[in-house]
Amino acid sequence: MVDTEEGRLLSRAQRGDVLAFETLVRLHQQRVYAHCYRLLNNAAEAEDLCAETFLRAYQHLGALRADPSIVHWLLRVANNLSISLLRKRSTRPTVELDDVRELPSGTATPEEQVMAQSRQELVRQCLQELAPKERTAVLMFYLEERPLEEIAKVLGCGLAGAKSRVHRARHRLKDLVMATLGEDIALPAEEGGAV
Amino acid sequence: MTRRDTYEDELRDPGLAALLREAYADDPALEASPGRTERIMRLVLAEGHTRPAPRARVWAPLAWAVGAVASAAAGVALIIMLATPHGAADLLASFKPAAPTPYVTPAPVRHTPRAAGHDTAPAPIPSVDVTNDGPAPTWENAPDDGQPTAPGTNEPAQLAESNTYAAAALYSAGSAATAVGDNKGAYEAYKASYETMPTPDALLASGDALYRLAQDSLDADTPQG
Repeated sequence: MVDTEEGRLLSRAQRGDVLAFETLVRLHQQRVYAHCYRLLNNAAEAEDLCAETFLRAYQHLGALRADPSIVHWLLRVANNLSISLLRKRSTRPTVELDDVRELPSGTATPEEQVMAQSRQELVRQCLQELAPKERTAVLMFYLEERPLEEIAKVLGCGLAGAKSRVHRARHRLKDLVMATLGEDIALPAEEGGAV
Repeated sequence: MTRRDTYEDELRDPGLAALLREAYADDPALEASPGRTERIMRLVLAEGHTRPAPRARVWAPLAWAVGAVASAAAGVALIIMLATPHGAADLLASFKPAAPTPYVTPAPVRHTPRAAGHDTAPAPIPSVDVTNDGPAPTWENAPDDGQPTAPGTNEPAQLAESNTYAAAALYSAGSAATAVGDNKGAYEAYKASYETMPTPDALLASGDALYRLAQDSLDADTPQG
């Protein structure tokens, strides 16, 4: 067991301390939820899978190891659950009414805001075209800026496998974006921070 | 720079990263939800102990089944071993292939006259001291004494003929022994009969010799001139 704050919390949770487990949930729930949400593109399903992931963690508490963090185990479970759900979907994902976002306020004109939102939706649709594991790889590497080792742990493959998936997903996504938006991927004027 | 860093640098794509960040920027669904932790904990405490754990993989019951069958087989084998009077040694010995029985020439049996009033006694088994050791005597490998074989003295034919008669006699003796219930005597007689039978080579040589004998007789009867 790694002697970190998370390791100590896990040891206490394994001895039956529910408050310690709740602290672990509070530490990692946002990341697990975001992972599910980006894969599924559906907030309600992401909430359900996030809760299911922590329930499984509680049921397998004795087998969990904080080496170096339980978040890899959690993300792997969340990833597998998301992939299972995606396979069950017989139709293309639909956007729920709750998920329709309000136009961001700013200096841009309404037309520019609509165009920007449309572009965002199209990019997300392109992401949904990728295979689930490729989607995970590309989101973790480019959006979350995670190292390849971490991606390999979440995907349950080796470093070479993770690199291969990232490489393949990158080219496929660029082709899809180019076909959908009719433009090559160019560096936007301003960059936001990783979530 | 390590090799791992090189890998990652090869894959870096600032344009794609910025596009993805833009796609998820200002998404309210990604904002922290204050009540999520409590919802998760309610589910965990409500179902964490009551709901059965996720179903095991398909190979788990298969492994259990294979293990159960193997254990049952081992148990049966142990019971059989314990039930054998002399234990495993006997059991193992029964699986060893039997060594070939060495060929034993049947002992010559004297012809004794059957006593009157003793018809129930087993019939005497005639025996001949014939062995099939070594190559069967044939026309081709007969000893060459430099003299042509005289008509009527064909050795392979005579030998095969005598062997056939001896085998037939032994077979008859075996039948007789069977009739009076002397199984052991019948076995010995049949065994000696089969061992006395001329080999296929000898039979072929016999046929060849008979042909030559007939040819010689024909030549002798044909008037010359």
